[in-house]
Order: sequence, then C-alpha cells, then structure tokens
Amino acid sequence: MKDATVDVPAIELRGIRKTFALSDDENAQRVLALDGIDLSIRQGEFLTIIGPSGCGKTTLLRIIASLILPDDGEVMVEGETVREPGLKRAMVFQTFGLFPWKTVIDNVMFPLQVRNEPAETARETAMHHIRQVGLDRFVDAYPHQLSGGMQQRVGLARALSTGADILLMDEPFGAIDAQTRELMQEELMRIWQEEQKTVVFITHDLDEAVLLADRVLLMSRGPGRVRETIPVELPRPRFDYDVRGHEGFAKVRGHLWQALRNDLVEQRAEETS
Amino acid sequence: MLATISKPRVLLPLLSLVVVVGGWELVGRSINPLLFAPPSVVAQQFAELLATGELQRAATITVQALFLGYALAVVAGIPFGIVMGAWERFGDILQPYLYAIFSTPRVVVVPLIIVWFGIGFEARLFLVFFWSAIAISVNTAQGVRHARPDLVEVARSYRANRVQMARHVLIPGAIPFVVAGLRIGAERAIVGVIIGEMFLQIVGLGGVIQKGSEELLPAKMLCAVVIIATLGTIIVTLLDTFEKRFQNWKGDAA
Repeated sequence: MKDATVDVPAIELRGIRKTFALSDDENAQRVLALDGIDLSIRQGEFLTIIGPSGCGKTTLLRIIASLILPDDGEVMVEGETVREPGLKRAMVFQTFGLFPWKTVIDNVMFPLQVRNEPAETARETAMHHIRQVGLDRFVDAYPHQLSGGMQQRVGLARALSTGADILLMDEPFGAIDAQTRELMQEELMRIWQEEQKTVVFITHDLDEAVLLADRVLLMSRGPGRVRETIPVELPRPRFDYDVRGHEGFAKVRGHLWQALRNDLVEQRAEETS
Repeated sequence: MLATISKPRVLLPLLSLVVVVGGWELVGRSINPLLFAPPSVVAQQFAELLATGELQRAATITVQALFLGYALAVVAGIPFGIVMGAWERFGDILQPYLYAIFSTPRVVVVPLIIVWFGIGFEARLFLVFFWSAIAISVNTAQGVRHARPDLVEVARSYRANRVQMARHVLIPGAIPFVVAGLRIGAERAIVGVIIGEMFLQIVGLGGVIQKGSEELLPAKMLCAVVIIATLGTIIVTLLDTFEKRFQNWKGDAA
C-alpha cells in the first residue's frame, strides 16, 4: 500500500526550459522548444498531454525520462532530482521500439537482463506481463510476425516488467488502427487500475486524451508552455459504459477543442500574414 | 510448395551451365589453341595435372594461405570494426587511414611486402589477411554506426551500459553490414593470394597460371582459373548460409 510518501508527487517539474540548435554549428541559432514548464503529477495519477503538433510534447516526455536534459530546470521523481534514466520510470514508444532480432519473451526480458536479474526470475516476470497483455500464444514470435497492436502490447509488457511505478507513454497508440486502438485503451485502463501506476500519456487525439485521463494537460504551440490543466471527473471504470456519450465527456472535449482550434487559427494567421 | 520452389532452383542453373559450357566448347574450338582452350581440352589437361599431382600441390598451397589469412582477418576484423563503430572518437581517428589503405591498388605495395616479409608463405598470408581484414573492419564499423537511433534510445532508457548496448543493439543490427564485409573480404582475400602467387613467389594456383602462360598452355591456366572460381563460389555459398542462420528473425529465410 502507498504509505507516508503518498504526499510526495510522483513527478515534479520545475521551470523546465529547452532549446534546440537549428544546425550542428556551435553558434547556430537556437529555437525555444519548452519555456518554463512547472508541473506536479501525483502518485497513481493518469495524466494525458495534448497540444498542437510541434508544441514539444515528446520533448517534454523525453525530459521526464531523462533521455535528454533540459537547459534549465529540474525533474524530480518521488522527491529526488534525476539526471539520467532510472528504474522508477519506464517508457513506451510511439514506434514500439522492439528489437526485431529478439522474440517477444526476449524483448520483454530485456530490461531485466540489462539489470542482471537471474534468468529464471526474469523469465517468470516477463511471462506474467506477457499473459497480462494477452500474448501468451506468441511468446516465441518475432516482432515482424505481429500486428501493430500486438507489437505495442509487447512494448507495454516490457515497460511493466521493469516494475517501474511510472509509465511514460509517447503516443503509444498513434500508429495503431482505430478499432484496435479502442481495445488497447480499454486494456491500458484495466492494467493501470490493477497495477496502480502513475501514467504520463502523450497523444494528439482529443477523444483519447479525455477518455483516459484523470487530468488533461493542454500545451500551447511552440514555444511549449502549459496552457491549462483540466480535471476529468468521469466515473471509473470507464469501459463499463459509453463514456463518449457522457455529458461530462462532451464538456471537457468541447473546451479542449476550442482552445486547440484557437491556437491553430492564430498560427494560420501568422503564417499567412 | 516445395516442388515449385526447388525445381527451378536446380533446373535453371543446370541449364545455364550446359549453355555456358557448350558455348565455350564451340568458341574454344574455333580459336588458335595457343590462345584459348575448349572445356574438353581443359578437362584432359586437368586429368594430366591431377595425375602428376601438380594441381593438388598447387591448390593446397593456395588454400592454406587463403583460408588461414581469411580466418585471421575475420577473427581480427570484426572485433576491431565493432570497437571502431562503438567508440566514435577512436573510429574517427582511424577511418581516413583505413579508407586510404582500402582504396590503394594492391599491386603497388607488393615491393613493400617483399621488403617486410620476403616472398614466401608469410608474405602471401599478410597480403590475404591485411586486405580482407580492412574490408571487414570498415563494413562492421559502418554497420555499428548505422544502428537504429530509436532502438539505441530504448536501450538507453532501460539503462543499458556500453557492453550491453553493443551486445543487444549495435551488433545484431550490424549483421547485414558484417556479412557484406565478409563477402568483400573474401573477394579481396582471393585476389590477394593469387597476386602473391603470381608476383612474389611463383607457387600455388597463381603459379600454375603464370607457368601456363610462359609455356603457352591456355588449358593449364584455365584449370587453375576453374578451381579458383570454385573456391570463390564455395566461400560465397557458405556466407549465404551463415547470413540466413543469423537473420532468421527477418522471416525471409524460409
């Protein structure tokens, strides 16, 4: 059970600022990608991040994962400042990131193998999570033999096998067809409730953002800033009823849509002026 | 399924062999026998050289230098290439020199090799080893450097160290490049051994060609050429088998 540390946020961002050089040249012009992001994510929270393309969503997630470092600001995980990838965070990638030369079980075992866990326990842990995502029949298959949806299940099982408290998901269902996506969303919610993870979930799909979230973070177009965060107070489990037909769903979705639309219209006006 | 696939695979090459050998025979008979020989005459010469043992002795000498040199090149070239590819700075420093050596015509260093190693077995071994090792290293390093950045990031996010990164991501991803390097290396090894046998010490199959040329016996030269070609085919076929074994995950091996 969550103990006294429950008050410590799972993730805390303080003044995150990030620029990118336009070329490899040291004196090259730099673009501001993220500008002063402050954010606190509580333990067990499901946070979705949405924003116009190019707003720095993925950059922000990679900073949370410590795959890149911010120019300024601090990332704290369960109260401790982090500067490199850690065991408490596990990432799920948009393009799945499976090793094509490894079978399903070997892909899922990879993080454990890297940690030098004994082969027996690693295998058991991996099998448990492969069953959890419903792929027990494909343990020895290679990624190219699986559909996109199945490949991302492997990606999810791999992240779960680490035992990390925090899942960082970068548009994980973006490359998956619409029907499979709905199924995956449902399954993710089920697993999230079983495992009580903290989830940070990037998406460009409004419905998905509202459907999954405890809270939606809306980013403004570049330079990326937090525009607002909107709590989603729809009853859970949400796969037991038609969420999309719920009045609260339409309200949040409409609000987000309006804000996103304004951003796009402004951008359009700037580009054509 | 099996029949439809395997039939043309055996039949077509067989058919082409008949056409090529038949054509060679027809052309060969119509050319001055001091310049060229048809397969029938080559076969006869082959039998004679076998009877005297000259061909076996020559082939043994060639195969020894070729296989030992190539084996050493593989054993040294792949690890060296991996290190060059994985440690960027090291690779950056060495790359220009390797490219320079890689693209220098082989014959120009023959005098140097004579100075360093004499004209015997060691000299030929060095020729074979050096040229094929460089091809194998350069290709392996390139393969390691061409690792998919997304997979490198996955491994990094799960805290893989340098050795684990090489083992799980860089090396498996580099296998197609390594195999390409092994192929180029094999070709260069064969050329190297024959050059050594023609221009250093007249021995082996290269020596047989050189002597055949001096004795105006084209059939003798062609005997050696046929054996060399067969050796090359065997090596390439072995590499194909190796490639399929290590890339069963691609699903096109079946």
